[in-house]
Amino acid sequence: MFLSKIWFVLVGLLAGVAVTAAFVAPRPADRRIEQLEGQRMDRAQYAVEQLLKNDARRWVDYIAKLGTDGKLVDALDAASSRGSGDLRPWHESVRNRLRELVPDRQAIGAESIIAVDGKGRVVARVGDDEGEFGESIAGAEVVADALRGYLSDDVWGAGNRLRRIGAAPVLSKSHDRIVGALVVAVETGKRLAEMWKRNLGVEVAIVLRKDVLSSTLPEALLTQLPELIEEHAAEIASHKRSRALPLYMGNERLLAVAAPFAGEASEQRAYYVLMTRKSPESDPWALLSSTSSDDLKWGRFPWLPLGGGLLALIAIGLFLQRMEIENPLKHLRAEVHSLAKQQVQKIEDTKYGGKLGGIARDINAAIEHFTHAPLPKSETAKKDISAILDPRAASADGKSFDVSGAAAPSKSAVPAPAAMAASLFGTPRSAPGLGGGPPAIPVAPPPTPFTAPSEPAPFLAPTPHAPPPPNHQPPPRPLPPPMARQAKSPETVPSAAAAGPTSGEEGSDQAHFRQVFDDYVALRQKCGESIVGLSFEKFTAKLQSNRQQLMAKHNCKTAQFTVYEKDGKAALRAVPVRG
Amino acid sequence: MTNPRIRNTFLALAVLAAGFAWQGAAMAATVKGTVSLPAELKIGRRFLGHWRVENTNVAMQHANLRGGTVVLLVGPQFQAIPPKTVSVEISGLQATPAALVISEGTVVEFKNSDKVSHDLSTPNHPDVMDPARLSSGAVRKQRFATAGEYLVRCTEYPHIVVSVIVTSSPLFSIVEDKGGFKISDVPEGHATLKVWSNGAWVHEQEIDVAARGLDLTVKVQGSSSAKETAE
Repeated sequence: MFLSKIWFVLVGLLAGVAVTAAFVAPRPADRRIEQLEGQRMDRAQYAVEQLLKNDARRWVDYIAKLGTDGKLVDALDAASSRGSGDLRPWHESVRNRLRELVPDRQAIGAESIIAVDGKGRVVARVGDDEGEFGESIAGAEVVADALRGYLSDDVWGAGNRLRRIGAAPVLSKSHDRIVGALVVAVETGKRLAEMWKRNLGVEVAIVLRKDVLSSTLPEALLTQLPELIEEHAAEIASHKRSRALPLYMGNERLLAVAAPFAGEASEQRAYYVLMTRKSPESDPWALLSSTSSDDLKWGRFPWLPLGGGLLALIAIGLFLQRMEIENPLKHLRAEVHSLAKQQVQKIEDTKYGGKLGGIARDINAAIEHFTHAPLPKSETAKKDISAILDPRAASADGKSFDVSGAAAPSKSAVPAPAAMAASLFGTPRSAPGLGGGPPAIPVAPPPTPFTAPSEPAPFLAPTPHAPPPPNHQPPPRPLPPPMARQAKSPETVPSAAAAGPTSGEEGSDQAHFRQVFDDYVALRQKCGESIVGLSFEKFTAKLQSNRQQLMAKHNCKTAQFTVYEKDGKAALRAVPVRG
Repeated sequence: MTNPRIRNTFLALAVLAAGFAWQGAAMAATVKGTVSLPAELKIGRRFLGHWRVENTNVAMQHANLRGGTVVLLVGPQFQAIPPKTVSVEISGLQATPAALVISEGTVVEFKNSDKVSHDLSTPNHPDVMDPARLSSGAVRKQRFATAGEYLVRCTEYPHIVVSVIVTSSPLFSIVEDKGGFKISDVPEGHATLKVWSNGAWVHEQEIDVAARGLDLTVKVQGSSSAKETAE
């Protein structure tokens, strides 16, 4: 499961990186968008400044041209020469003339036009306060400038209204002196804001002394705007504009650039503000909500790489899980099934790693605990006794039992009877018979459900290395000893003593030795070997001697001997008995 | 009839007093001269729009300084002028005089002779003069108790500015339209000459006043040297 864990960690890290990227990646784009929006606002502000400048010149020229009207010149000249007298005689005529000259005053955006004489006194007005005349406005800088001969403009913020002013002198007909001036006040409010919006594609607000005079947006929602401007008043004063400032209008985010109006209005904290709606915060959810179906079309979205990548991730994960978890589990389960059906004596716990291996070892330990049968030492013992009794039976590699197993007539796996007799679960992996070797002499097992029958049942108990029964059909139940004995291969010549009692009684020993001797003699004869010099007494002495050695060496209770044929010769095998 | 001793005593005192009087008259001098303002201070406009172009037929006239330029001497020993009441009239959308030099405790009466109302205040010293509406024909009295420079502005018409210089020095002169100024009775010795124009101290120089007086040509530099003390 190591690789699976590594894979899950990698996938988790990948997911973390992906989520982090999803949250972080939009930030640079946000900044870039904001920067571009700021640049757009800069250009818009520059354009507005140029519009204001052009507009101012247009109005100055307009009013200067108006001042060339002969009737106006005559009237103002006469009023100026009147001194401090009443201006009433010229008021009506000048006002009417202005009305005639500017019939479309409202349509062109002129709120009022004022005619003053050479002393700066109002002779007549059209538009606002048409009935008022006579007062001096010579102190107004733009008027004073006009009376000194300058054509100029200004912006006034009086009366909670913002007006762009243009003024020009009115020259006498002889063009040698100034007889008065004309002043035009131009609307600077909603109409102007709408025009800028149409031309520049930005929202516009006009602010005077912390009041939003007019805006293309609902003024009630721009409550934060005057405060924002006040906060940046110093910056605006020094740079004649602000940078793009974030502004919140309800839930909407705006970018605002504020710039002061020229003239007196700049002292009155009059600003025009250009605003644009900011794109929403580019968090992943906002991005998802703003996607369209076009974004997910084949040509625009990397479906194949993304899908392939995801499938690869899943496939690798599943593969690793199958390789490291499911397959070992499946094998373990099969082994446990085999174990439960007594087809194997123990689980090959070394095949499993990690926790599965632990489970297998725990199962083995539990079974061993229940049986109280320690691992047989038969292999070494057998080797010893076989070598002693019949060195010829020992193979070149010293594994007489395994080698002899090759002569087994049946390919069906034959359980290791000795191992089964000793312990169902304690058989070493190199135990004889596991590789299809000859059946060992069964030893009388303790009568527990986990012990094997005293007689070998070759067809019932395949070795752990043997293939399972076809189609996983349950193997036949173990036959009773006589039947099992009958079913054994003729080459396997089990000793009768194997079925006999294993007590240490002398009589039984003698009978066992006799039986072994008889079997041995019979098998040698059968194999064509000589039996000259072979006596029961010597045979018995040898067996007893070796039994003692085995008992001393392996700390077992006794030892049982069996006769079998190996490579066409008779051989003996000793199995220590502990129980 | 008169005791000759007493007569001689009076005569001696009279001679002594005459001598002191002559001595005092000899210590006072006159400082006069011309103030030359840079173009930016004499165009007559504090607030410019986008355009200011000359007409092509009639020569341009110089702007009236409106008494907004003041020369003040500080440093010499002098006798402080007592507080008094002075008046400023706002008429034709302009205040006259545009600059006042007053002593501490002087009361200034602002009279609105315009048809429109004015909102006067000292924005940079809001504790001195709160914004208050001055209706047409109304008078507002304001006492200036502390030495300093104050700009009284109209919120509705920002070009209306009254410079109020509160000082204990009686040695000052309102500069004429052509730039001339004259300060009499200046004690001999070292003094500092300061020029106030367009709401700020725009020039300052050290002078030594001799018995015969001084005739100065004060050249005010451009905006880079102007010190917006009042602002």
